[in-house]
Amino acid sequence: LDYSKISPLQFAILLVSFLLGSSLITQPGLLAGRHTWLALIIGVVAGLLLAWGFAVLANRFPGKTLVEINDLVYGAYMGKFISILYLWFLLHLATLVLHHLCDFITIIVPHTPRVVLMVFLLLVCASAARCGVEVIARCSLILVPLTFIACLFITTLATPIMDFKHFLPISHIDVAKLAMAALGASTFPFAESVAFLMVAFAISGRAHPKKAWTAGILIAGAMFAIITVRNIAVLGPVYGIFLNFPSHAAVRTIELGEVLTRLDLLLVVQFLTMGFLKLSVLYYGVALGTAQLFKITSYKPVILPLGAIIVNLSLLQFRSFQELINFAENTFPFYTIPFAIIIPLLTLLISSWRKPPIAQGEAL
Amino acid sequence: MFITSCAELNNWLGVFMLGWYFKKLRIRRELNSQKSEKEGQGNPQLQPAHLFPSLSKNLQLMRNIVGTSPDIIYRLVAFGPDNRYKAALIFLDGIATNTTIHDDIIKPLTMGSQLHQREEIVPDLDYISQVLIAVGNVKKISRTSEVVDSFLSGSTILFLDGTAEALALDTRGWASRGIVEPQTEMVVRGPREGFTETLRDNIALLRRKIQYPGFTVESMVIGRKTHTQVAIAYIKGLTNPELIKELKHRLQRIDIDAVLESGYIEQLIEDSPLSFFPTVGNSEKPDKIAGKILEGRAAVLIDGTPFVLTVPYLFIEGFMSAEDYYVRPFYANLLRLLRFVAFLVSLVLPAAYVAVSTFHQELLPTNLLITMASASAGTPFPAVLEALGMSLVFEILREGSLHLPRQVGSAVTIVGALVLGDAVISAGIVGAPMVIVIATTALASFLVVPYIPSTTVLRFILIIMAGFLGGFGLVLGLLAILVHLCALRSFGVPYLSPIAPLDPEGMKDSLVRLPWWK
Repeated sequence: LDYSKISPLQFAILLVSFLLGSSLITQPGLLAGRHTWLALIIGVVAGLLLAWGFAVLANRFPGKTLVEINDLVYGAYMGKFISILYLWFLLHLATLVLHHLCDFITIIVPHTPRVVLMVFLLLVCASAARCGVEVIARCSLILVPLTFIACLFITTLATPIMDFKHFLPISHIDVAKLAMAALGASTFPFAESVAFLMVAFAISGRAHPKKAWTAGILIAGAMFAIITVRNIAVLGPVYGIFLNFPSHAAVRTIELGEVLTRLDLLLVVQFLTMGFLKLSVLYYGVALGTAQLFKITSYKPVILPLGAIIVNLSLLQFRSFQELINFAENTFPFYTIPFAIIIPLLTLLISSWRKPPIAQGEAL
Repeated sequence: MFITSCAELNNWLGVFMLGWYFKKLRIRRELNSQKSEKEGQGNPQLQPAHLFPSLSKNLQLMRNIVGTSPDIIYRLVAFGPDNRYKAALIFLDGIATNTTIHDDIIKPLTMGSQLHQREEIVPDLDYISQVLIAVGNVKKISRTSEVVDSFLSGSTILFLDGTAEALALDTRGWASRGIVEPQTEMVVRGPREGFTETLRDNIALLRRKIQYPGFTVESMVIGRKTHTQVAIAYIKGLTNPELIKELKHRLQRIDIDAVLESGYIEQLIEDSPLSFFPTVGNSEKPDKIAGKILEGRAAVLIDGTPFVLTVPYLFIEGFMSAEDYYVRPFYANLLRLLRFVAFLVSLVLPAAYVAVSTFHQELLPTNLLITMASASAGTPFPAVLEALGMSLVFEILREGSLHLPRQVGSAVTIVGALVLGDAVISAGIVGAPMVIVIATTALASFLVVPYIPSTTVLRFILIIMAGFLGGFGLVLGLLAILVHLCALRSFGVPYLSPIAPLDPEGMKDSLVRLPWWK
């Protein structure tokens, strides 16, 4: 269906952009307030553990996407059922990302109808998804370094207004809150890397994806750490309590002379580009999976119909941004658990127990 | 039960979604069949495949095929003892060199043959070519098509009575432009010679730069009516054989009546003809082309044009200049960086101005905002229309001044600069900041010559996007361009390499040029 090949490096960078995607603005573990960094560390560790599981799974079925793996492991009926569940999960994730992105974009273009923003954004994503994972990976190779540089630039400029007293008192921890925040951080965004089981098939050579997966999560984690520390140090007690977009609030306070007062523009561009990449990967994954599910010879014809579904679902799903936040904080972590932990674990166990012959899989 | 329904669904999906693909295919097939019908009509007139043994019949044959235009010279020659042998020369006046024909063919035939022993002289083409005439490149041919082709390319054809063969004597030589500095690519430092319109001279210019046994030139003829000579130049052992194979394949596939410039070939062999970006490079400078060949690229030289093509062509090459390699690296890198910035400015600046002044005024520092507001207060049009209009005016000026004689060209500049630039502001129709923005954009676009066509078109699209959706539209437009660039390939090589996909070896000469000693 898609014969494109990506190198492990491209895979890792693409994973970074995927993880940064919508979490660049609402940070992982925001619930924990000044202990967000702690939640973030727990999230990264949990994400690494999960990623190793995914990597082992991907390595056991080289050149196979999640849909094909499900077919091989669970058989035709059950496999199709689980694949449909996963496709729903990816599609739903895409609608969440789109909704989230558009909520943020309405800050800069407040009077434009939401549906216009969504359609235009999704059209560009569709063109990327149509070109295949290779092209998305190449885009990420250019955009991620730029985002990284911009992030460092903003953080450097923020140093005069940082106050590290805001981290104190460190030992006073609300454990229940922290646990919830850590769960949130590990599911959103780190556990979402289960979507990359739809992409890992394209890694060239027989390289084990574990290294690339680890590298991607660690780089993204490092960037989150920089952002988190900056935001806590800049915003202080307000952080994690009222703000929907803490990074935005933090960056807006930066002033450099009379000229550089609106650095949040950089942030918007960062968020838009990373969100675009995340959305493209999800979109591509859903399209490829759908095509494989129905054994269509090309995934390209399903792209636009899926796009229509994503836009509509995204519009209908939430009435306000608060509903989205509520869903992301309270429902999403538990909603992700079966997809990111239970089913992959089950797949791993069954596949090591059944040892399905690879040759048989080729005929499928 | 589930399987059957799934298969049905699959069927249904296939019919529903692939329907328009099938329709598209059908249309293409119909177009192709029409094309092949048209080809059938263009058959050359029936003619015998081989020459006759009789001189008069051969001459009649030639008259039938090429006619009796005034520039076609039929010259009868009698030679040998008692002038008993008859021969005829046919050549094109102006394309075949007259002095060569007089001094090296006719003179030795008629006068020289008197000096030899009577019995030695036989009416035989081998004898004539080996003993009598003094021309370097001689070919014996007997097929009519070969005779006609070499005659039309400027060779002199010698028919001998009683022989069903002819000699093609290479007497090609016509008035051509000298080797002068190319107008399109001026340099401060570096060789000043440029390619000419003659293929032979161009190959010689390259050969003189690369005196290496592996340097190979392969030639072919393209164009049913023009019979244009096309040559591929590359270095054996350095250039990827797959590239040469693919290039030859694409060239052989070309089926066209006329090739008058390398642009014809370029548009027929490029990877994505619908792209705004060029995937085949061209240059008029032998040193630049030699450099590309030495990097492992292949060059395509076309007779009749000084523009030589190179493939594969990568995005990064548009920002390179031959001079980058001749001047010292720190300055060369500064220039290269400048070109990148200029490219971005020429692409984005008007759109960014439109977005900021229409949607995001709060992004500007207060002083600048006040200046801008006071300048554009009272101007009747929205910023999008201003930007589109001014860009259009600039394109008109540029196109006008480009092709006019120099004396009239200055008038265009005066009208453009004084009347449009100055009066439009003082009349309050367009704000002064907009004029500054468009002027800066225009200046910046001149730094990256290969992408002037691309940026011009994309600039208009981006302005419209920014006018509709503000900064969001601008970023979306740029992302779409990026996706397109990432998806482009030139002869199998990703357009954005060595940056994406990353190639550390190639990065040594991409955004920056590392010093030679590195």
